[in-house]
Amino acid sequence: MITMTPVLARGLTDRDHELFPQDEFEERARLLQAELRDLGVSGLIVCAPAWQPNGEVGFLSGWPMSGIIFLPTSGEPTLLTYGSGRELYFQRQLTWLTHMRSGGERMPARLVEELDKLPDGCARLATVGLGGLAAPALRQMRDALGSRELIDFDARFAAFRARKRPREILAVRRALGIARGAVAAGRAAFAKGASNTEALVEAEQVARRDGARDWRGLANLTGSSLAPFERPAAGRHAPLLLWAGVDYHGYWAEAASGDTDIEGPAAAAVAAMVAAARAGARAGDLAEAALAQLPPPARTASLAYGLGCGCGLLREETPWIEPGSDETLPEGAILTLRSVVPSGEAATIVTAMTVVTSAGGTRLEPL
Amino acid sequence: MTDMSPLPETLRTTSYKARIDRVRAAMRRDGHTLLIAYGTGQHSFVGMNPAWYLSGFRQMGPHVAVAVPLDDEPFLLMTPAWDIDRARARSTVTDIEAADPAAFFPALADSLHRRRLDLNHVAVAGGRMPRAIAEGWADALGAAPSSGEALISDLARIRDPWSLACTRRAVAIAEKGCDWLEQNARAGAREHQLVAALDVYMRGLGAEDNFLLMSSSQHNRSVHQPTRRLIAEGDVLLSEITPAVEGEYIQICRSAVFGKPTALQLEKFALLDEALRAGMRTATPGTPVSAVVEAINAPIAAAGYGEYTVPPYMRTRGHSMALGSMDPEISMFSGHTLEEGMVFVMHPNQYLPDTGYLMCGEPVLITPSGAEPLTSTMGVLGSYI
Repeated sequence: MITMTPVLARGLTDRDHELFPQDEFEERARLLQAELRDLGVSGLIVCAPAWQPNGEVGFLSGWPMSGIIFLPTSGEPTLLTYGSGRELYFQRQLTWLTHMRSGGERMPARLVEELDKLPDGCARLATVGLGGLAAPALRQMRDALGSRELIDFDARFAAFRARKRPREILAVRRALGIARGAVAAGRAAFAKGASNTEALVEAEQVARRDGARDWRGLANLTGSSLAPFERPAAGRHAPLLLWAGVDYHGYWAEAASGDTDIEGPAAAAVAAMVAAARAGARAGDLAEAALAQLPPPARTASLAYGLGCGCGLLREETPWIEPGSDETLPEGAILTLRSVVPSGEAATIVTAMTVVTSAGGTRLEPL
Repeated sequence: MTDMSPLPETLRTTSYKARIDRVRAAMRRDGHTLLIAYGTGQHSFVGMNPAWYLSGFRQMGPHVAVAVPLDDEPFLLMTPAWDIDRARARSTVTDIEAADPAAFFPALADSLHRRRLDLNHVAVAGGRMPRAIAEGWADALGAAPSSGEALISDLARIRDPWSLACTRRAVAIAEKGCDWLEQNARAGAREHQLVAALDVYMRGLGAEDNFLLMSSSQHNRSVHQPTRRLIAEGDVLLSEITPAVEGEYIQICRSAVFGKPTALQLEKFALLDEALRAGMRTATPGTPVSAVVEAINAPIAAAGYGEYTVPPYMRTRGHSMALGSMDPEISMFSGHTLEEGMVFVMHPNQYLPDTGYLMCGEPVLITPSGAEPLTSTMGVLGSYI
């Protein structure tokens, strides 16, 4: 669901060693290196644009960061960060990596220095995320890499990441636990007389207190549609509709005020999607299962807000749950499924964090 | 008692109307028939948002465009469609259309053609645009547009009455945040929980967003996002408190010791305070920002820390955070020159080997006599007991 992006992920920024020990990342690198050797390349470069940390780099570094990570086919990866190096001391505490340096303004040249350390100079390289770079940065990168052969690895990397690892599932469950607690706090504040806006802010405070790295919140602040916090407001609109997105350690989950609903069209729509979320199913099948449970006005609203998508290191990943979509659900993927009915007698928001299995979806329990 | 009542709506509407008028005058001067101000949903305080600057609408979706024809009424195209009620409530551009994010460019092309607008001399201002957008204008418009970045930035870098009102309100919120910290920050708290409570306190005062960095150590290397760290007696808390009101961010940089500051800490903070005041005296209209940097660095270098006046021991000596312009950047290399009416944070924040990183910075307004602090009280090395 589209929400307001804040200027900075300013919540808890601290590696959770119990959740993500060193060997988890060594294993991720080892498995990827085997694929790279099969592909016959010397290594992989994964890029995240300046000021836009992303899940691709975060998957290998252990923390969402902007920069470029270079993974050779053996040995440890190297992370090149944007910025002047002032932040390196802190960034080192967030990752498992020992090889980190500031690329700064000379990022492409620094990358080439790393590539040149290998015996063959990395004549053939797999790449992820080049397409996301701004045009000038992409031009500089291509110029610096010169005649090296670049193999687009985006799709294979996405497939590699689609099936969530057990510790990734734990991280999403932790994020879900924080999101559920935030929603409960918002509802409790509303029950005590808080305005919808105050309830939303209370939910944010609890999420941040409990360890959210980043937060998204929407509520029915003015009546019939969902909105983010923009300014204090005293209006009360019952029932409170509250949606919370929480990032813990880079992993996202969402919860909503109607998650405890067991009746009503929105709950039925989400239950139908969960049941249909079996490995190999079409994303469009889930959408159609949901729409069959919704009366026409609710159908329109739920489609407008979105029925869900994949979720993990990105708040929104493929596949998108849309009518007609032929994308298939990979086993082990995490989906965030939802139905939003913003007005009327059945007004509610229901969500379900779901793992795709061969027998259908399994709802995640909060941790 | 600080006045936190809503800012006057009439000031907002008149200022936004004046922005459109000034943009049209600049378009006429530069030979443009249409300006498209684009905004991404990736809000940044180091990147301008031309669409927000011209419409007053803070977008959620990935694309918003404000089209300003030279002679016709402007219109706003926003995403996603379900957010249109909020756009209608806040946008000062009243002709509003909505599109699904995936259909942004076709919808824009359709809107432009329906209005029979002259697309022969189009300029686009978009700040930091995603590559797909930066490279998509030519197809959508039928020809590659000119850059309108400077057109917007040159108008916006001198604050208009609405921008200044929002800025002053944000300063008031930040100062109240500092007061809150002094009253509530105690050893034994966790960094991230202290930040959560402070952040929400400032939201309650009207800060829609906050570039809030806060961290502690007995010897800080820099400021960063909060960790689980339990704050202990003797830790130095660094705070970059940066609330936004209507898209106008301001920043106050503060340092405080849990307990009584040492003589050495007081001495080194005084050195940075001296540097800040030297920079403020130098920052008169017409002065190149490089001269301000030199004025800030001079006392620090004279105290024997010349090698610490460059990265990685510091980042920059100051910068704008305005909605419409990132000028000025207070660095040796930006090439900017100060003008009366500019607002930015000036901060000789940096690492010193004796005490660690210290923060000392104020939001300032450029006046004929130099940089005036917008804060009611300039920062001191605080003490939380």
